[in-house]
Amino acid sequence: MAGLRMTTPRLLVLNAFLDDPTQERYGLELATAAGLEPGTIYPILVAFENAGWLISREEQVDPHLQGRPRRRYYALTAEGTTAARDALAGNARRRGRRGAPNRKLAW
Amino acid sequence: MVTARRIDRVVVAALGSALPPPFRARQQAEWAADLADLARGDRPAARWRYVLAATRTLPALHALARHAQVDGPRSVSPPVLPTTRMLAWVVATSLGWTLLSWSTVIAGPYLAAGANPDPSPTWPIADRLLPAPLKVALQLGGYAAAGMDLLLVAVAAVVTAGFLLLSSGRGWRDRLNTLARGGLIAMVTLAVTVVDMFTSLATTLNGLALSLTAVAAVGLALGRFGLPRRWRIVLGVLAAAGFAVVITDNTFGSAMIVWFRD
Repeated sequence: MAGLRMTTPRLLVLNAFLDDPTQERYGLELATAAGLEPGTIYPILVAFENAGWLISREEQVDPHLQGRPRRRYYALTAEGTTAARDALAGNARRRGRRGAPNRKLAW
Repeated sequence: MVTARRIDRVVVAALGSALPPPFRARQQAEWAADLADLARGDRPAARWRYVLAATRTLPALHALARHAQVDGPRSVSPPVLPTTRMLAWVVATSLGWTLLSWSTVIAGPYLAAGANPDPSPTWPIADRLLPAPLKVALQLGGYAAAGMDLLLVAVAAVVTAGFLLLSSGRGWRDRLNTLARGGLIAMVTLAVTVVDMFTSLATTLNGLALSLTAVAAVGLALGRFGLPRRWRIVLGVLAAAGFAVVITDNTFGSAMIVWFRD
């Protein structure tokens, strides 16, 4: 977690992951679940992956049958799950002190 | 849908050009897959919003890309266009059938006949060995190899009919598009056939249509049309064999063509 600054979009993505920490999700699906504007999620995912919070893998499908390139699926690591819970709890405490419980961005 | 895919290719290529090469293909695959999803939902406004949003993330992605995992694809093959797929089927089937026919009704029997000048059918299309429809199809393929290529148009028609059957569960617009693509390919093959027949009757050159089909196969095999690797290999092999047959027919094997036509 060292050096990873928490922003509202990052917290929303972590929150979406923690809805089911064991589930693998792809970018567009995660952006929709987190309430982020589609297309903006990839820097967040790459940052989390670089920090070791996420692992990713390519799906094993035939791109020609699917009519699109293979998707990349992301999942929380054990370290990422702990860090995400810590980050969200820390954010909730700060918001509690400030009295601003809003969790979703409006796009 | 096809236009959307073309636009996606250009947009994804342009966005990716701003990223470092090792990370580029991975991110292009992500964008292309998302845009394909959004195109299926028929939401052009959402797609353009997506592209604008993705453009805004480029500086951040560029900064992060240096440490990103790059085990993904080394390049992103765009989804193959339906017209390309149909054309690949037409080219592969007509080339394959022509080459099979050339082997079985021209080269094989000619070599089997040896010094015997009798042009009557010998192995393997002698009367009792093959069913009549197959024999007719092989004869048609033989004529295709010998410079009167009616097979190309027939294959275009059959491939179009096959694609129409496959798209039967889809909407009328999809079926109409398939028919239009097939019609276009059939018109081109008809034009090639007419020129080929004229050339083979008016000159001593054989196999113009076969050469052009082989050229098309080379283009499909080497071009970036999104065809799977095995398809490109098959097309490349068929093209090489096609060129070999044309060269044979017009040089040391011209006697076989005369023998077959007789």
